[in-house]
Amino acid sequence: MTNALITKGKTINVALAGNPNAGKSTIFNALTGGRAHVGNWPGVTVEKKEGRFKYKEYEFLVTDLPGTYSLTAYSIDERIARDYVTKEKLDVVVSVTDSTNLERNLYLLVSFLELGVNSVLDLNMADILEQRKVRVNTKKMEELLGTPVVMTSATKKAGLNELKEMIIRSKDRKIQPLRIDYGKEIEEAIKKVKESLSSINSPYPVRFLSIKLLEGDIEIIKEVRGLGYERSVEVAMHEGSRLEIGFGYDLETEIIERRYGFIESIIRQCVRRVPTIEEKLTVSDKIDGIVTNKWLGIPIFAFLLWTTFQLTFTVGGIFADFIDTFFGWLAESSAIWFASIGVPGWLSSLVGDGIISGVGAVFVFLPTILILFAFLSFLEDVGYMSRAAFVMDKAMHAIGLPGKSFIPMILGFGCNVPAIMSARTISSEKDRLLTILINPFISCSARLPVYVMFTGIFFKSNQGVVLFTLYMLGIAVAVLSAKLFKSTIPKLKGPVSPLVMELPPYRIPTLKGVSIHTWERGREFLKKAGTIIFAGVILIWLLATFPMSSEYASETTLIGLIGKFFAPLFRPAGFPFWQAAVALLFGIIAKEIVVGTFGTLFGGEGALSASLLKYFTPLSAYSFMVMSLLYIPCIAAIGVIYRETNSWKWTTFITAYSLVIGWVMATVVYQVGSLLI
Amino acid sequence: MEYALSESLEDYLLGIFVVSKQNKVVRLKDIAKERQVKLPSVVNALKELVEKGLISHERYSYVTFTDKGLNEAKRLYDRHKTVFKFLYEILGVTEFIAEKDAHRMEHDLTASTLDLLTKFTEFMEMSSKIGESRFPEQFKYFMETGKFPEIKYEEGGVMEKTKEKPLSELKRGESGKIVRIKKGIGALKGKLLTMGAVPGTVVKVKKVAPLGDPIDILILGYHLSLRKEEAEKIIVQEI
Ligand SMILES: Nc1nc2c(ncn2[C@@H]2O[C@H](COP(=O)(O)OP(=O)(O)O)[C@@H](O)[C@H]2O)c(=O)[nH]1
Repeated sequence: MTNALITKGKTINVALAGNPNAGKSTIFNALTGGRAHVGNWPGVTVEKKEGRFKYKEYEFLVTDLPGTYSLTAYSIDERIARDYVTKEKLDVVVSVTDSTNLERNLYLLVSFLELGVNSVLDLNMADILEQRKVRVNTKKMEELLGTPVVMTSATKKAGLNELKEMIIRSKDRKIQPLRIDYGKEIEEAIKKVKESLSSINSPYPVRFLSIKLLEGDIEIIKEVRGLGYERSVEVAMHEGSRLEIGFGYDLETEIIERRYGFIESIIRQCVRRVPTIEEKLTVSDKIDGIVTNKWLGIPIFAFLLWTTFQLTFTVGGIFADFIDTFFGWLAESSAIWFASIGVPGWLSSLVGDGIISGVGAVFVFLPTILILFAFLSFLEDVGYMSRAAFVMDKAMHAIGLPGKSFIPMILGFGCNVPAIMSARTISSEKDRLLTILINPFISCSARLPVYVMFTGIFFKSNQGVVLFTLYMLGIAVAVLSAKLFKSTIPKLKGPVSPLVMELPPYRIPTLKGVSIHTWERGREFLKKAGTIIFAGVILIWLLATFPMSSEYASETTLIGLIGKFFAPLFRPAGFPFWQAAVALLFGIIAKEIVVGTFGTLFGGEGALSASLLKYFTPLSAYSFMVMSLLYIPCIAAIGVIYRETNSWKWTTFITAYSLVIGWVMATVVYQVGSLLI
Repeated sequence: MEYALSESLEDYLLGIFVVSKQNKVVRLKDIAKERQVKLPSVVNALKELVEKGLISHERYSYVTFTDKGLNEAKRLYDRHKTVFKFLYEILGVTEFIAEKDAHRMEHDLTASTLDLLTKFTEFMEMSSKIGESRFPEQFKYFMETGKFPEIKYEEGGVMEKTKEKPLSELKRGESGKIVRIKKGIGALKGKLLTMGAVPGTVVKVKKVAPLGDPIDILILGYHLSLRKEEAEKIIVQEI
């Protein structure tokens, strides 16, 4: 008991806040050594990272807040940050700022200070300041802001101990919320609102509430109303409209403008030689001149994407094949070994066909995911990703998506799993969700073996054309589904979210930053999506094995019976036999397994072609390929959809939707085709 | 009229109408939510409305309008919308106050004043649509600057005279000083302001994306990309 108390006294609860690209993750990784627990903020799909480290006799608990520019009610990210710093028992909030752009970066800190949050100002990227020979008078800044200031260079690990010391020293500081002088009229209005709010029981300081009411902050209005202070809202509205006429601006503009005025005066007093704008952006500007050039912009983007794609799926493919072969070998050897020591067949099959292939099915994706995210994190850290979105935005806008969804769309041609994971950089939840939901229709490379098998048998002379139509069909279904979802599902309705995106200066990324990020994605995949994939494989194994008297995956097993049961459903689509249904069921594990299943069911490689010719016509072969393209995301895709949407509702919805679409399209193809032929 | 609705009954009727526009069926709890009252009050009000033959409501079932009720509700709704428009679009008060004051005006103003107000709103709407009169535009200018615009009627609008234009119309390489951000774009306005797009800030259009949209502007020393759609909302003065 006493022991617990002592350790409790020595735990310091710290949150990191800051603008995007201020170096927050770099600081987080430098402090925690990159060991983070990654989860979600309650109820939303915004990533939450927590880590711990020890310094002196203290245990630090660090939470990484989403990168935000302010604490308005504009986005979920900002609301999370605001709620967390006010409602959680935090000791210190470290405000990480890019000290090369203090004008904008200090805004967030000022919001914290007005809230009365115990903050430490971290002026990061001090190395760049030094290069540019800019001096910051931190003592003066501390005085003016009333909050401690440290300088760090996260990538060079400089200043980190000072930061830790400062956190320890300021953890028990008594805080007075910062008072900015908003000028006589506004101050009077604040006073009036404040009076009307007397003895309100809110975690926010009264002055802060009053200012926010005058600004017309929707969340705060709700909060104050909820506490029964309707009248204060009215007072604020009244004062607001009265002042607006005098100012010629609405009060929101006026207040924010004065806040910026305050920041400007701080910078004027504390920073020696603010470099001129032109000067500090030249290198970045030169690169941008090429990368976003009218003629070169799109080709460069296409080239980078193509390279990423090639390297990911060829190099990744080699490793994936290797892993596949390894697990295949492992399954076989275990079967042989089990047989030699007289283990019953079902157990051997459980281990071989179930567990080992289940683990294999998960690991097979790992190389692709790691390589791809190494590339993407590299491009992200360099600062290129926002340029890519900038270049592609208009094209994507046409189909109702933001520029940032282009990358996931294209990556889908390689594999939907990392593609869906890469949608995470899309900041609007609505756009992100839509991007994820339509991704499974993009024809990934695992569908290719199915096409190759069928076109090789039925469309020998125009294989290419048939392949092309299938890919186009996938794109068409994705685009049309996007339109459909946008016009019918309330949560996805409405125009594309506004684009207000910073294009950060180009920076040379660090190996450590990129590898930590890459590994995080890989680990997450293994942990969250991996369990679902594994469970799926085991389930299919159970269905294919029982009852035990039957041969694996034969007509009399559960899966065979299910196949038989569903087979008539596929009559309108032209393939009403149980083998096709079973192949499709197995295809849920991974689409290429459809090929292997036909191999098993139709007795070996040699006989396969003959049997397929017996069962399928070219038309039904085509409709079957359409079905394979659309019918259900593979189990791994389902796993990551769940992981990324954090919702069974959406996961089930898209699975059911694609099943229906697949069936409908296959049927339409077959029926219309029958009429034409 | 053979019935006179009390103020709060009118509100209920209007509330039910609003709910019925949003949902397929109207449940008691939706009405309570819309009116921000407790369920028992809703039950009482509904009883009165049923007595007046405006709605029908069986116990445990949904609320539906009678023909008479629907007409009356539509009338109230249209009136509310016009008054709201007057406050929000013409006077330019915030959405929130407009909603509130519209509600008060409906109940407190004499019917004839309300009628005239409706006519006036229609007139202003038409004149700004047709573009014949510069009245609405001039009034906006006056509200934002406190000055009466000097006007030459021959060419262009008021905007041209003061060299104000939306940011979206600046060409690559041109700079402007932010004058204001337009209203009616919800939380986006706050977002732009907090990112530094406050009056007086100088911005420069640095690049235009290969397909012509979005644009990249330099503001407070950093690059920000906006679609023309968003840039249109930022009014700048050319420099
Ligand atoms: N020169 C320099 N670069 C830094 C520093 N801190 C971070 N960076 C770089 O700035 C970029 C953005 O950093 P990151 O931590 O991803 O920012 P976040 O978006 O705030 O998490 C990365 O390329 C970092 O390598 C620093 O102190 N000095």
